[in-house]
Amino acid sequence: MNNDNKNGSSPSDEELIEQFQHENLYAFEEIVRRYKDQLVNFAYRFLGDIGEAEDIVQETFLRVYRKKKAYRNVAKFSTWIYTITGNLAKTELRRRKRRKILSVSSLGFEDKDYELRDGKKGPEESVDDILKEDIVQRAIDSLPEKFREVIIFRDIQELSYEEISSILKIPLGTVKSRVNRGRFKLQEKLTEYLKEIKE
Amino acid sequence: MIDCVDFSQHFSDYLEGKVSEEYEKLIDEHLAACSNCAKLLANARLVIKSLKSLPKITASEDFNRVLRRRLAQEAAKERAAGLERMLNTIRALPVKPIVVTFAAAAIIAFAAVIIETYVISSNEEKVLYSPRIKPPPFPGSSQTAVYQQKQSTTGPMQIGGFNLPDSSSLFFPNRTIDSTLPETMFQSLRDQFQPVKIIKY
Repeated sequence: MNNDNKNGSSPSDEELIEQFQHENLYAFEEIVRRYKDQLVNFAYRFLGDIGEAEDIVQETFLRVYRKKKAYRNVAKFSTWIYTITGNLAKTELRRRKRRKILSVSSLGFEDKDYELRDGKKGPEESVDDILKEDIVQRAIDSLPEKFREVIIFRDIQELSYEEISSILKIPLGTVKSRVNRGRFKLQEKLTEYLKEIKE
Repeated sequence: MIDCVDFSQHFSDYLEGKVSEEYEKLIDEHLAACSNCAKLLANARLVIKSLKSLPKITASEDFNRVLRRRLAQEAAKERAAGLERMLNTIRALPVKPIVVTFAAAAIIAFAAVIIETYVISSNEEKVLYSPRIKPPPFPGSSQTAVYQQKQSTTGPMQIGGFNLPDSSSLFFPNRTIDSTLPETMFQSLRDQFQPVKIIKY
């Protein structure tokens, strides 16, 4: 997100989308550069699958490209683009659930053979770190959708409560209470893990 | 004095320093007296710390190439839809079928030429052409050219206020510049770069 500049060297997100609305492809490139990583991170944490996450972010940018004129400068650009990604991710999650119901042989969450995220391992990231990450990711995956999205927005993407409220179009109080309850639920799911990291 | 239920409803606000000083004191008093809530708070801190320390996942190196391909497909699809609409209009005309067939064939041939001209192949990469932008005057009327940075130029290369994208960029891979940029941007491009190879006339 970049909204800090009205007269400085780098254009704000809102200025970029306005330039793109006037067919400036460089502005679109800059939007992609600014947002692709954070959106992939969000989608990955929400879906737990890097392939699906990338696909959804690709679709997000296609929609921004296609529907650029639909953006009106009344909301922050980041709110608009997160809403698109969030909606696509939720649709994917529901599609996945339907597939699971239809497929007799599909495995439930608990039985699923999880593949650890490969690649993109930082130099300081050990196997132990990846295992811990997997435990936390599984806990996130097991949260009901409405808690999962607010927890990711708040505690991973570090968005403000106000912005989460705008993205999800729910009252501020509801966001706060969902974050609160989501954190409770995560604690319950991570009981063993918490004991381990305290020791 | 507050109880465990009050605390459980406000512990996130307390953690993030979003309760009044007065309420904070009440919570502190409760925490000093209630080990369950103190434990819950400590665990909540650990959970938040674990979430914040998750590694940031980034897009794959292939991301831009795939997006570029999908954007090109999208553009082609848009043109095909436009063509289909035109054909439907022609079909609806009150003329003999043979005339309609010839007209449709002519339109398809014309569209094929346009698509070939506008979606320009450059090895495996594709450069999108925006027909809505008026081409600036350019010797030889080329549509796409490879540019090289002039040695006399210094500092970050910019076009229209943006840093020139590197070779992994979406629309201008391999520093191939579409000469259909808006004229002001194109002028700035010519100040900094010189064409070294004309790809397509």
